[in-house]
Amino acid sequence: MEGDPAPGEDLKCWVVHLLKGLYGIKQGPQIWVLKLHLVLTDIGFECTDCGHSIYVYRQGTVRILLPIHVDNLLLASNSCSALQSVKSELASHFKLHNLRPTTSILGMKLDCDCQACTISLSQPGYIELILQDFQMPTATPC
Amino acid sequence: MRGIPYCELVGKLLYLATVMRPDISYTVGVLCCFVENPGVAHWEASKRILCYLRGTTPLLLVYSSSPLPVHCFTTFSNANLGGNPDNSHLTGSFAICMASGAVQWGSQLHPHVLLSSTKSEYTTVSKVGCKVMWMRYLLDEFGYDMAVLLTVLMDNASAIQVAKHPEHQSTMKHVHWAYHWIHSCVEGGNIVVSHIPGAKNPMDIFMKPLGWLKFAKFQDLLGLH
Repeated sequence: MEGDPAPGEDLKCWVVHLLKGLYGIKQGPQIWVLKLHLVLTDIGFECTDCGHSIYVYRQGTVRILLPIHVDNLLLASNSCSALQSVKSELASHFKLHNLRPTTSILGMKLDCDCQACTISLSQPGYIELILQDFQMPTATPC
Repeated sequence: MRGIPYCELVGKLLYLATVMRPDISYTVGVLCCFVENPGVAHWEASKRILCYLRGTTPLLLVYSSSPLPVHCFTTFSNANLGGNPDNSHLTGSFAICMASGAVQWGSQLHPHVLLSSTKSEYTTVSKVGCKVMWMRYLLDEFGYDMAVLLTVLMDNASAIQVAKHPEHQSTMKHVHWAYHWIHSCVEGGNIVVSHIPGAKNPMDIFMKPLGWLKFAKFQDLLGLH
């Protein structure tokens, strides 16, 4: 059958061909990944073969790493100006929320101490959550 | 034990152990063996981990600048022959350390029984070699110059000799050829296997229960402060 359904006709016997991605449909994640891949490769990023969710941009000494988790992107680079230009390029394609320097990623707390040159990770939130889930928020620490 | 959310708790602890708490890896690994039919002792033990976590919530996994360039990472490997008292299977463990902190680690019960500690260490280091090579390829794609020697440290001198010259060891003839993959890596100059004294190898934290002093020392070596 092709064309439009007649008034009163059962819509369930129709097969529809989607012209664009809609939020929540089964094909959504794939459409998103393909779109993101297209935009990133356009900007000059390359998908790494060893970790498909990490993109790398290399130009001379400038290097940008971009790990992706669904629609959360994390940018790391040795050049601030390159970072800014990538951000503005991305903003021209997508609606971005710029969350400033990273303080947490995937539930992990990330602290950078520039003076001591250290990066530290911790997960106090997740531990607190487990303790509450199992009714042990006041357990005796050992 | 019906209705007790043991499986759920172990699942959550497993995520934590994999993501950023190498210190509970071994204990969680042991508890995972009893997910199908847990007893009261296992439930008590898992709650004991919760008490431990409550006391050590502020623990940080710290990466700091080290004298080595960041892409020259070090790997530790060790195996515990007959580590599992139920079936004498061996426990293998590894940790990849970068910038004075562990970035990847694991403690795994292997599905076979072996005859000597040399064989168990050799088969473990072969599997660990795969992780090292993956890390090498990944850093290479990030643009680092990976024409460097990557060191795997282990505390079994005879396993190191076998990795260098497997043809000299008549007692290793029956080891499956797939495990000799590590020898080709060593021969090709991609991986160097070196010795580290047992007391300095933090892998014990992944393989057996330890006293507090040793536990704290190895925690420190893995970057947990």
